[in-house]
Amino acid sequence: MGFSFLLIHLATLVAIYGILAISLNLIMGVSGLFDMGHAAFFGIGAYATAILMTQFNVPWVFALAASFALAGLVAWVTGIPTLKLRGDYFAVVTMAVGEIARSVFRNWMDVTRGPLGIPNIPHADFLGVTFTPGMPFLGLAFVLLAIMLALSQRLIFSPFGRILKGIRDDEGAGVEALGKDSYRHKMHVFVIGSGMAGVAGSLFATYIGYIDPSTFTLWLTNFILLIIILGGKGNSIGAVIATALFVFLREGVRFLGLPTSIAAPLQQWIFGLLLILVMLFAPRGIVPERTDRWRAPSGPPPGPPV
Amino acid sequence: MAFLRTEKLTKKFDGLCAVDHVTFEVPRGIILGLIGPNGSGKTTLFNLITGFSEITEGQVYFEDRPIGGLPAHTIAEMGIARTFQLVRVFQSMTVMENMMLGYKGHVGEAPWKAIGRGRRYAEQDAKALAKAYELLEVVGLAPVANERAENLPYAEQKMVEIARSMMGDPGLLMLDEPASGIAPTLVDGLLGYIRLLRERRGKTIVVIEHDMRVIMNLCDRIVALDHGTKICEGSPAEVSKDPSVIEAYLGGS
Repeated sequence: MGFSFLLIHLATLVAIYGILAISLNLIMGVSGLFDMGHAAFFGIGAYATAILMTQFNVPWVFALAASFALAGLVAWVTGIPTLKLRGDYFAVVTMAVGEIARSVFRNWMDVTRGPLGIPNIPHADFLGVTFTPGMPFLGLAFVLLAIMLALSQRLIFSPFGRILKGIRDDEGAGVEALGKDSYRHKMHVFVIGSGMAGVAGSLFATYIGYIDPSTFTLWLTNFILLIIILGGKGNSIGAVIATALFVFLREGVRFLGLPTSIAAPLQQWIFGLLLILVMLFAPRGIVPERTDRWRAPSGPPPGPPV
Repeated sequence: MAFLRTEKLTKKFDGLCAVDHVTFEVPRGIILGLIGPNGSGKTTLFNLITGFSEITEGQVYFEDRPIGGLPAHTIAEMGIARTFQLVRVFQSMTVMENMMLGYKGHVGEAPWKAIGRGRRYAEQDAKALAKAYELLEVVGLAPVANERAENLPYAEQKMVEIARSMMGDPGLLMLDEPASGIAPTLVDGLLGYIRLLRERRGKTIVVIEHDMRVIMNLCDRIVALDHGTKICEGSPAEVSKDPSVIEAYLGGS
């Protein structure tokens, strides 16, 4: 108990929010899509898992898959009309989607129990192992974080990822001229990233064991957005490092023994100051975006020059 | 048979007719220059042909297939590459990343294939890389392959853009003012490269250019526009003597 218990708790939060940050990084950091409703997909994942496990006794693995699928599905529906719009309109619409999701969580009493929230969400279990909070769950969360990180790295450093960066760099016209369908690729990354947020939400629900609508707000989206800017837009490893920094700083302030009326604003102060410092001294973030590097192929060039 | 052909191509913005019933042909293997004063509709015409702007009236045929109304990426995929007046190299990416992005039909463009990475993925990667280096060698940019595009001088970025458009093996290359913003001393190198693309690679090229010296040097055939209409067409010598062209450029009543 005590200190080590706290450390394990914080590390678990780093893993969960780390997945959320990786997923938003794909959408916003790599592809430049200003998604202001990301918390909604985290919430959809959390609610899907909570409802399936408490009311239908669905095994955790299937609830996890359903969270991924449902968050992805909602993203797909959102994307159909909005991904053809210019960047700023996309930001406004996703912000609205975030608010709609929150109000559905709060008002669809029969399903979500509204502000009462959903308590007693069972622990995750898989192949006979129950992942109770503490070391078992921490292990699970880190395995999932590692998988998501690996997936994200593969996506970023591939032809798919290069198209996304191209879309970010000039609003799509440049990649269209090279024969790439920008709408289709934006849709792919939006669905994948939102599905990943659903996975993070699913983990969150089984870890805390209780969810209510107050978690899934614009504030959470902003928090993750800040993490991505600090960590280095486009770099998923930076996103995880910045998540760790944030989570530990936020909790660290609590242990200074200050009254809440001072501690809460102090947190905001520290985050604000951090952001300014990073903007001043490391505008590309703590871990700047990495470019792919190649060496010239060895041997004689294939075919005649030009 | 014309390689590219437009038929009464028209673009109206509200009341203004930016391109007005323009009909012209581009035979295979030539360099065709598109000239005209500012606002005469050259870039709009480019946008109509490449699908970046919606056609009001008329049709475009590429290898005798109508392509008007198709999305820009489909037209590019069919083999019409274009560059832009203001350079559109992806700034945050390296020269090589830009080049690799120009490669067409890589299986890894689908996210699940990017994650899976089978044998074909590796093969296509190697192919794209070899091709990119080959193209960069020609323009002398292979040494800066791993440099971010934003760190390159403007002239080199323009070269990257043209080289990148070659990655997809287009049949037709449409260059919008390739020499603009480039120091006069570097223009000759650029023109040499464009000629090379035609002579050694058999590309058909349509080029918009302001600089008459460039146009006269480079083009086999010229189409002149003014106020959205085609005012003259012919060899450089013919066009430069045409009274309507002289009037359009020098003004007059």
